[in-house]
Parts: sequence; structure tokens; C-alpha cells
Amino acid sequence: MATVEINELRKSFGDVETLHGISFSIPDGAFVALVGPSGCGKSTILRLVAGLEEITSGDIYIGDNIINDIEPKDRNIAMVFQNYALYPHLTVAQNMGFSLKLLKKSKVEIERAVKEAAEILGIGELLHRLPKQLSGGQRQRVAMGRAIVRQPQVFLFDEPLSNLDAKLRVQMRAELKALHRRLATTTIYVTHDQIEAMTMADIVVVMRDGNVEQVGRPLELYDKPVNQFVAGFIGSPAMGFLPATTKVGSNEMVFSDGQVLSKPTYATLDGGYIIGLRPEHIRLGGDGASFKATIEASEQTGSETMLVARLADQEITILLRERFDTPIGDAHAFVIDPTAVQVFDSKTGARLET
Amino acid sequence: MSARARVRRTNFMLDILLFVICILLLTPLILLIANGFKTPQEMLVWPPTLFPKDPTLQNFHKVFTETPLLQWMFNSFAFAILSTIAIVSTSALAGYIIGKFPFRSINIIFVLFLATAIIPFEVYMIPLYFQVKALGLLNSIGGLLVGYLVMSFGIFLIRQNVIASIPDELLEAARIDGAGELWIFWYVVLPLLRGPLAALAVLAFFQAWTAFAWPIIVTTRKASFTIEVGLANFQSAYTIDLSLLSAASAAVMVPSVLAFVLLRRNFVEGIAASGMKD
Amino acid sequence: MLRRKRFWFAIMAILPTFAIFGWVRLFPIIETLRLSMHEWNLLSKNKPFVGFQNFIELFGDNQFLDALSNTAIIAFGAMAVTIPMSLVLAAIIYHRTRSRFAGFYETAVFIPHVVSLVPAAMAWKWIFDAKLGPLNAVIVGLGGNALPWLFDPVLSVICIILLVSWQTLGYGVLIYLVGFRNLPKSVFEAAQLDGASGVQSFLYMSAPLLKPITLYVSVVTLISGFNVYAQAYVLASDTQGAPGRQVRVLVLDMLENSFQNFRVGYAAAEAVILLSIVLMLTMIQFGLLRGKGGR
Repeated sequence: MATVEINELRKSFGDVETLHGISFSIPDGAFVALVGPSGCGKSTILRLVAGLEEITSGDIYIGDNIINDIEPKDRNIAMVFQNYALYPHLTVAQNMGFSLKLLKKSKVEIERAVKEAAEILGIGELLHRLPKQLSGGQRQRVAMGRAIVRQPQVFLFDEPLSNLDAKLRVQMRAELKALHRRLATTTIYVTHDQIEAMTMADIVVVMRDGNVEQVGRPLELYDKPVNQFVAGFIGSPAMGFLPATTKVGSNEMVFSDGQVLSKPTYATLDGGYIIGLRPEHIRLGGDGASFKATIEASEQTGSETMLVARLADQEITILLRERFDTPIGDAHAFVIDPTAVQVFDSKTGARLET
Repeated sequence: MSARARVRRTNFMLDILLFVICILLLTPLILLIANGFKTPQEMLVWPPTLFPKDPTLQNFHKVFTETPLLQWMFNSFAFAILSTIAIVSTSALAGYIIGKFPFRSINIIFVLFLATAIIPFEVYMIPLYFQVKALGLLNSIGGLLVGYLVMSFGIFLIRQNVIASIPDELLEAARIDGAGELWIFWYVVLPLLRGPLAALAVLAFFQAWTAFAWPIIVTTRKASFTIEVGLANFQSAYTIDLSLLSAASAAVMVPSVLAFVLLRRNFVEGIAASGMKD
Repeated sequence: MLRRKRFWFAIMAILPTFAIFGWVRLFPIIETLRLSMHEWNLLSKNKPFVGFQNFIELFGDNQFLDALSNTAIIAFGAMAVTIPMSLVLAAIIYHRTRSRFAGFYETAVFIPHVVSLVPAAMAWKWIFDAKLGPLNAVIVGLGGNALPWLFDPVLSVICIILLVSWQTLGYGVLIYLVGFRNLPKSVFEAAQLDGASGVQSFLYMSAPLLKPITLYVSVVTLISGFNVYAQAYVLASDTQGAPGRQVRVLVLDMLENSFQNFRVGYAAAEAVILLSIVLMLTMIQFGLLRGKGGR
């Protein structure tokens, strides 16, 4: 059983603590994404699981075994590095077969394993090339091949797609997902790109400043973010935030310019709160229950229009799934779906149940 | 044993190994210094003692008062200092010109500098000797200097530094402001070259201080020997007095080792830079 | 207009250096090449042209051949000892870079290189001394026979190789350390995850990746090995003060021919041969480096 359990993990570099008691569990065979802004500690966790850094306190389990003190090579894991870290002086075949060579497997066995992995990744023709003769995407596959050959219990990925161009990235995302479905190996995937996390992972762990903000399935994080940070981090384009006031028991939330949103809240205090609006939940409106916002910028992609508008003296982004051509500077009416709106405590950032 | 403890134990063993190796490497020098403190009689004892039973300063006293060692030290020092000055100045200027004035003739000159860089001095020192002799400079500091006025590697080092760390725009701006070329060199370029020039100075000094083949043919009179030559011929001039010889060698060795320990960074920079030549 | 001014400044500025260079480098080099084809006994004004005769004679000259073989053995021997030792030593020192003793290790290893040639040779001369030196004392103490280190033709060459290696070790370690510091760290982490132990990492990763440096250090130590002189002069000289049998090396033979045998042209020919060897070694280095794509 290749479950992974992280328990109260702490890491300090000298006097500075960078991980403040991280805990979460990974079920067997799951694809887990660790996301967060730079410096949040996600790569550190990965390296601790790999054994490349020493744990300051806390425990890591793979299956039923606590692996804190086990050497990296005995943990039965494989890692794909951000810059691939291919052995520059070895051919693709030798790169992939290196771990088996160290285990003193026979040449025949090594050849077979390498060939199998190469088939899966589509690099069978590159076996005799050196890393410097390969493109970025090819090197990435070799790095994965090197990991697959080891038949590990857990795959670790450290931002593997960040060095690829946009188009290749989209293609590799799909391939990685397919690979995971085929091999069914527990995978921990570190990225700063929340789209990657949302599209590929079974479980997403959002991190900030050495703490776990939320753990859950992608859609859970989208629909029910636990606080303002997660809400603003997940989803692209990002959620917009507007201050509004309400009273206990009221069915209305009032923006700073007086416009009113009909939304029952479970606010327990009168006062100011933060409304979270996703760009895709705002639609063009007619008269009636609409909001007026002034268009400040507009981007057409052909199938969608992205607007930057000013509502209640705040800049918000609006994503329309249609063509919309309106001169800049005009005010227009929009409809906001009250059920899709989120309310956050203005001091703690925690989301209120609505 | 946990992985962490195992790593610590390996590191400890490696430290011990390195310590032993370092001590072994330094042993010949330690013995040399120890010998300097032995009486001449103790030097002839068999099996030899490691450390003197009756340490004495008489050898050192003798070395400085009765042998020309001080004169030799002066010779070596003067020679090394003058050579350093010559090499640093010629390398700075030539390196700057070659780096920032890419005219065809300058490039040809650079290729010449480069091509001769790999030719060891020993190969062409004989004709140079005759030049020095014709000028009547044998047995003088000047004569020694002739062989060590320029260093191809020094020119190359400065050129690399000039190209890498002095932007053309800086020079253009100074020119537009009306500065003369020499002024630019002195006030703009040189201050920026302080680091590499220091490393070069250390290298040049070291090269002159430890030179052997050239000084030994250029100096034939005892008074004009450099330390190296003097020590090497010490043995024939003075009947076998190993303790004296050791004292003399130690007296020469200790200052340069001390200088190295203090100036280690510059030294290492200079020598590592020579490793990036090609 | 401006460009011409700069051109003249450049020429004027470089002229002094170039003039000196021409006098102390170019001219002697050309002179050496020229003299090698002439006969000159230092005294007479007459320097008759003799073509390649000097060279032909050299290859029949036993003393020269002796010197050549001794020098080659010393050069290659020193290289064979220095390269593996400095690589391994650098690997270990690099592994312990974070130790508080790292500075001490680097300094101590490099001190033999810094000590000037003659005092160093003096130190070793005593150690090798057949009657008084501690080396024989240790050997006898362990039950062996005292050896005539500096007298025996084979042993004295070995002594010189040991001395030269001892001096060069620090230099090799320094250059290798620079090389180690420039190796990509992630490659080693990948190897660690693949299961490589420290030793395996060294053998399969460090050593091959450091090949360009190994090449460079080899050629440098070889070239300086061929130019060996001071060590042979001091260590194995037969002046009355210190017993030892003279080991002929190229430079010694060359100087002897020039100043003792009064055959300057002949000596110049020897110098040209030394030059050819050095050039050949350098060419080989360039060739091998280029073959690897010049990393």
C-alpha cells in the first residue's frame, strides 16, 4: 500500500522555520498536487519526502513504514526534477538504466526495462542520444523514463513543466495524466500553476508561507474555498474582491456605491465583509436587478471577452463567454448570480457559509 | 543505525583521514624546521631524532650573521617586487588595449602574445642570457629582471577581465565627457581591475620568488645569488652542516608560507584563474 | 576621425609592452630556432650553418637520450601519481566543505606547492638521505633494509617523482575543487535517488564529468614535468656537501651543453626538441577537448 502520510512536519534552515507543522494524508494511487506561491514550502516538502533534506521534526510514512531515517535510495521513490537533472555524459538509455545498473541487474534485464519505459513515453528512437542533443520536451520524457524504470511506490514531481513552452505544457499535462492513469502510482506533484493542479490532480493541497491552507478535491477548492487566499489562488482569471456591508439577518449586502446584492448571509455581526466574485459568474444584464459597472479595458479572444470594469469603485474582471463590443468608458449593466458569490470575513479572511 | 548518525560517522572518519593526510603532507616541512634547531652533532645521529633534544638557536644565528642569506633575501625580494611591478603595469595596459581596442594590428599582437604563452622559459633562456651578458647586466638585479618583465598569462587575464567587467558604455561616456584616453585608463579602468590585478601581483611575485633556472645562469657571484640559487649552492660552499642548511631553508620557507596563509584568497584566485586559461 | 585617434593611442600604449615582449620573448625564441641550425662555441665569432646536423647528433648522444628518458619518466610518473591522488583528495575535501576544518585542509594541501622549490627539495633530501634520513630509519625499524635512495639510478628518479608529486598535489586539488564547485548539484541528487552511494557517485558521475579538468591538469603537470630542473639539481647532485647521484634531466643537459661544453647551437637544438614536446602535448590537449565538444 503506497499511501503517504505527513504528520506535523517541521523544517528549519538554521534559525528560520520554513514549514510549520504540516499534516495531510495521501491515499494509495492518488495524484496529489502541492500548489502555492513561491516560497510557500511545497518544494521543501517534496525534498523531505525524497530524503534530500533532513526533517527537523515530525514524521513521514510511506505505507506503514516511517521513513524519516531511511536513505533516499531505500525509500522506493523516484523524482523528476524541474531542470530534469539528466546525466549529461550518459546516453538516454544509460540515463534511464542507471538505477538498475547500480542494483547490479543483468544487461538483458536493464535493456528490457528501459525499452518498455521508452515505449510508454514515445522516446524509443532517442535511446542513443545524449541529453544535449534533445529538446526540452524530450528531456522531460527521459527524466520521467528514468523515474518509471525504477517502478517506485511514489512518484515525486518538482515543477516538471515550468521550463516548457505553453503549447507543450498543455500537451504534457494530458500525457502525464494519462500516464498516471496507466501506472496508478501514488504521485506528489509540486507546481505554482494552479491550472496544472486543478486539471491533473485528484487531491490538491494549497500552501502559503509554510502552512497548509486547504486540502481537498479540485472542485471542492473551487466551490468551497476555506479562506480568501485559497479563493483568490484557485481559478483563472482570479476571483475579484469587493467590500460590502450587511446587517445580521438581512438579505442584502450593500456595496460602497450603494448598489445592493440580494444574498442571505449567516453573518453574526453587523459590519463590513468581503464579497468574492468569480469573473465567470457575472453575466450581461438588461434592466431590472442589475449592477452598473464602467468598462475600463476589454480583451477579445474570439470565443470569450475579458473585461476589466469598475464596480463600486473597485476594479473587477468579468469573463463573458460571448463576443461583446462596447466602447471603453461606457457603463453597462451586469447580472451577478447571488448563489455563486462567496462572503469572507474582512479580518480573518475565512469564508462564511452562505 | 539511523541515516543521520551514519552520515555523521562517515564524516568523522573522513575528517580523521584528511587530518592524517594533511599532517603527512606537512611533515617534511615540519622536520625541516625542527632540524634547524638541532645542533650539528645531533644531525649526524642514527637513527635520526624527530625533534631536537637540545634545541638551539645557534644555526639561525649563524645563518643570518655568517652567511650571505640576508643579502640573498634582499636580492630575491628586490627582484620579485620589481618584476611584479613590471608585470602588473605591462599586463594592465596591454590587457586593456587588447580588450577594448579591437583593431587588426592589435589583434595580431595579441595572437603573438598568446602563441608564445605556452613556450616554457627554459626553451629560450639561453639566447636571452647572451643579451643580458652583452648589456653587462649579469650578476645584477637588472639582469634577473630581464627575464621576468612581462607575463603572457597576465596580459590574457586582464584582457578577459576587461571584456567581462568593463562595459563599453562606461568608456564611451567618459570620452563624450571629454576625458583623455590615459585619464580613462588611470581613473576608470584601473580601479575596476583591482581584484584581478591583486591576484596577478601575487602570482607574479610568487613566480619571481621561486624562479630557479634563470637566476642560476644569470648569477654566478655569490653576492648576487637569489635565495633559491644561494641555498642550492649552499651545500658546496659550506662543508656538510645539515643543521645549518636546514636552518637556512627554514628561514626562507617560513615567511613565504606565512604570507600564503594570510593572502590565501588572492593566491587561490590567481592560480585558479590560470586554470581557466583555455 | 575619432577612430583614428583611438587607433594611435592603442598603438602607442601597447608599443612599450610589445617592444619589451619582442626583446625578451620573440627575439630569443627566434634566436633559439636559428641557433639550433648553427654551430657556435661561445668564443669564436664564427657560427657556421649546419642544418639538421645538431638534431641528428642529438639522437645518437647517449647523455641526451638518458636525459630525455629520465625527464619523460619523471614527467609521466609525476602525472600518474598526482592526478588520481588529487582527484580523490579534492573529492573528499569537497564532501567535507561544510566542515569547520575545510579551510585548514585546503591550506595545508596547498602549502607544499607554495614552498619554493629549493627549500622543499632540501627537506626531502634529508628524508631520503641513505645514512641519516628518517625514511630509511622507518624502513629499518620495520625490519627492512636501508636503501640508497639518492644513489641508485632507479631510486633517485623515484625520489624526484615523489618530490614533484608532493609539490603538484596541492595545485591539482585546487583546480579540481573549482571543478567540483561547478558541477550541477541536481545531477548528484538524481544519482542519490537512483541509489548511488558516495563512492559510486564519485566513480560514475564526478570523475567522468571532470574529464576536461583532468585533461588540463594532466597536460600542465606533464609540461612542468618536462621542464624539471631545480629538484634534480638539489636532490640528486653530487657536490661534496650532500651525497647523491646526478640525475640527468633535459634542462640540465641543455645548460651543460651550452655553458660547460661550449656548444650553444647544440644546446639550442635540445631546446627546440623540448619545445616540440611541449607543443605536441598542448596540441593533444586541444584535440581531445575539441573532440568532446569542448565542454
